Amino acid sequence: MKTNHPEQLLSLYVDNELTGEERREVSEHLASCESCRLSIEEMRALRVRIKEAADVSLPDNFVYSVLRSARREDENTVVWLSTEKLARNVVVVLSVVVLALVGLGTFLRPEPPIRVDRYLISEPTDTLAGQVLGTQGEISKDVMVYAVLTK
Amino acid sequence: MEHSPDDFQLVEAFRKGDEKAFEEIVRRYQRQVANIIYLTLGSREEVDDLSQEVFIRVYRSLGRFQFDASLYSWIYRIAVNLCIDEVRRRRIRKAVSLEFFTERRLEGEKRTKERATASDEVLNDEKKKVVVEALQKLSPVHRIVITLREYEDMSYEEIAKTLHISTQAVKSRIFRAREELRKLLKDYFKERL
Repeated sequence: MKTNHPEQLLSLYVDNELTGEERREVSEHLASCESCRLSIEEMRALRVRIKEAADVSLPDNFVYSVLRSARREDENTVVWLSTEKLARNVVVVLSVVVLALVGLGTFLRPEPPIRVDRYLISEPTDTLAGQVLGTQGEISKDVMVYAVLTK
Repeated sequence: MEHSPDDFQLVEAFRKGDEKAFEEIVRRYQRQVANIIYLTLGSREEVDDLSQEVFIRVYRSLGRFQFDASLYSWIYRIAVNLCIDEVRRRRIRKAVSLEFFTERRLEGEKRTKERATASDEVLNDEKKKVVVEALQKLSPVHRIVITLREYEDMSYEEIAKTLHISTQAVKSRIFRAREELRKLLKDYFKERL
């Protein structure tokens, strides 16, 4: 007749997790069922034994060792973050310096001379453009630009 | 008459920089945390270190705690998560080291034999150990639920909130865990009831 025993309800009964009606039904069953009463007794005994077995206590200075470790971790995090921040700043500054040097170098470096061939045959030779464009050989880009602008 | 501050007041005080409030939180829950770890893992060796790790995590996260659950349920959740991680690590260790496993078993048997000749107090310790060892034979999910219920007296609803599972799952796990434990401890109950 094992199937008639409300086994899962017994577990809920021990834990006070039944509704009023369910509890009343289980109580009625328990009044006439020794096997279920024994189950209830075992479940209650199990609770007591588990509580008894849980007898671990931590050292008296536990709270201070927690605080010490937590602070140490915090400090390490701060050091790591400030190191990371410093490294990031160094990289940014170095990048700016490198870019500035490259830009300055480009700006200050004289343009290499380029070879100009005569391609404006009809240009009068008395104008600057004519003199420039009429010249066979290397001239600087600046002179050529100036010549074009003044034409 | 001075009354001790509740959890909410302690958390608020800690957020304002009062470390004494944190000390009080640790003192309030350290025993429960240590025993949840002990019952879940079944050995005393790691209890100190893991309890410390739990409270370091509490220290770091308390600023973000929203009180959407009770403080103790939140702290127990941290403890339970750490235990689950530890159980996983042990499984990996067991898998890679059969030797370690065998050595531990032999050492345990040797210790038990040595203690068997000792006093009643030691015998009582051995009996407690029987209960803890039976707990270790349950699956971790059953072990954790039954520990929160039997040791911490948490209601089904509190357990469900702490573990982020349904109340129905709590009911069924507690039932199964009890059935399993009663089978494992059958002889023990015959002797003690």
